This record gives sequence, structure tokens and C-alpha cells, in this order.
Amino acid sequence: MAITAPTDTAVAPLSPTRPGTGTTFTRWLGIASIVTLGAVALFGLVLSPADQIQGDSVRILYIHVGTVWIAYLAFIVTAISSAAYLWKRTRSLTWDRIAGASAEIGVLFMALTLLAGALWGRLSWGQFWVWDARVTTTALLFITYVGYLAVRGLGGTHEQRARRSAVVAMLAVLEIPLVHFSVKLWRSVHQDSSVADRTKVELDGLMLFTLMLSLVAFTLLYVWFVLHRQRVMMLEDELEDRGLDDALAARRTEAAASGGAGA
Amino acid sequence: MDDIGFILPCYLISFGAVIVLCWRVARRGRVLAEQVPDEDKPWT
Repeated sequence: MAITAPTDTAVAPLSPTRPGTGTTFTRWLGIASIVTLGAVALFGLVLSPADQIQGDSVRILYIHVGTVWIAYLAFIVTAISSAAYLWKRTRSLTWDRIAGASAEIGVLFMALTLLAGALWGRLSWGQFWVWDARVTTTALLFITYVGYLAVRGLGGTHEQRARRSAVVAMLAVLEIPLVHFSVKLWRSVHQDSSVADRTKVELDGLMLFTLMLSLVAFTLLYVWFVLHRQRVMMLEDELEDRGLDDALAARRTEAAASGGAGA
Repeated sequence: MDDIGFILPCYLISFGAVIVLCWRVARRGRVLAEQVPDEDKPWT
């Protein structure tokens, strides 16, 4: 008796040519992110000088400022994408997915902002946490967007998810001006802007370069993440729809078979 | 370098968290993309 080897056709992937959510553009973007992040670590930890007043603790600010920049950017993109979804002329689930992907990385970067800020605060203020206006409103913003992600995780159709989370995003973004201007609105121990207002603080050339490099590196990473994550969300939605269609078809077949048997 | 016990964990945790998140997204994309034909993937 001849024994034939089992073929792989039954388990072969549907898309053998280009697996994953990457393109040539995102691959180059990923490489650029890795290179620039490596440069941030090199300049931030080794090449940039210590601050005359803060000492080496200034090195934490290259992470702190970079991450908070991305968190703000991510939440603003979430709001703009949500508005685009709510507007009938541009309504598309792609906007909803971009909003969700952007909020996810925004929450991560806001958490990293709080962590870096706590470490810097311990060195500069002597405490990990102070109930300062800027610090407290930032924590509130973080909690708000964790809530936004929770709202996205509630059940319902893709359209229901998109509509309710878009409304939450439009409300949540109103907190950003409150966080940003909190140092002006209330008495705060948190320092004001150092780069935008150069009359107050003089930054060394290499320090300013490291800070700008950090902003560029995290922005490249943000774009990479949003592109990949919204594609993953598209695949998740597609497979969920397909699963529902299959379940419905199976139920109809079952109902027809039992109806036929009963007749 | 002074305060390395604070500075180094800040860099390690930040970069580590970002790498883990990106790796998870890329891996999930690879797994899901295998189950969907190319015509349903506009980026291909």
C-alpha cells in the first residue's frame, strides 16, 4: 500500500506573497525610527553635556519632552480623525481606525511621560509625585484616554464603535489646552516652555539638537505605529465580519435542514 | 554620570515599552494577514 505524504494546501496561508501589514515605505520608516532612536540614546546618554543647574537629570527630559509631544500629537490626530468620521462627507471606518491606533500609542506615550516626569521630579523636586497643576491635569488626560480605549472595546457593530468613540474623542481633546496652559492658569512648580520661549532659557547647541532629534525619532515611530496598527484593525474587522457571515450562513443551513426534516 | 539609577531605567523602560508594542503589532499583523486574501488588503 502506497502512503502519500500530506500536502500543505489545507493550511497554506491565503496570502503567501506579502505577509504582514508592511510596505516598502513602512520598512524604511521602521529603519529610520530605529536609527534615530539609537542616536537619541547615544546623544542623550553620552554625547550631550550635563546641564549647569540640573546636572545629568536633564538627560531624562529628552525622553520626557519627546514622549509628551507624541502624546499630544496622537490625541489631536485622534480628534481630527474622529471629526472626519462624524462628518458625513468623509465618513469612513478608516478614520475610526486611525483614531483608535493613534489613541493607543498616545496612551503609551502619556504613561511614559508620567514615568519620566516622576523620575525627573524625584531628582529635581525630591519627590516622585506632586499635586501640581500640570502633573495632575496630565494624569487626568491619561485616564481620559484610557477611558476612550475602554469605550472602543465595548460591543456593537463597527459603526456603533466608531460613532460613540468619535464623540468621546471630540470631548477628550478639550483637555489638551487645559494641560498645556495649566502652568499659566495656576501656580505651578512645573517649568514653562524652554524651547519656544528662548528669552527665558538658553539651551546649549548639542542639547537642543538632542531634543529635536528626540522629537523626530518619536514622530517617525508614531507614523510607523499608526500605519501598521490601523491595518491590523482593518484585518481584525474583516475577519470579524467574515466570522459573523459564516455563523449566519451556518445557522441558515441548520434552520433549512431542520425545516426540511420537519416537513 | 550622576543619577544613573534614575536616568538609565527611564531610557530602558521607554525604549523597551516601545519595542514590545511595535513587535506585538507587527506580529499580530503577520498572523492576521495570512488569513485574509491580498485583494482585501489595500496596501498590497
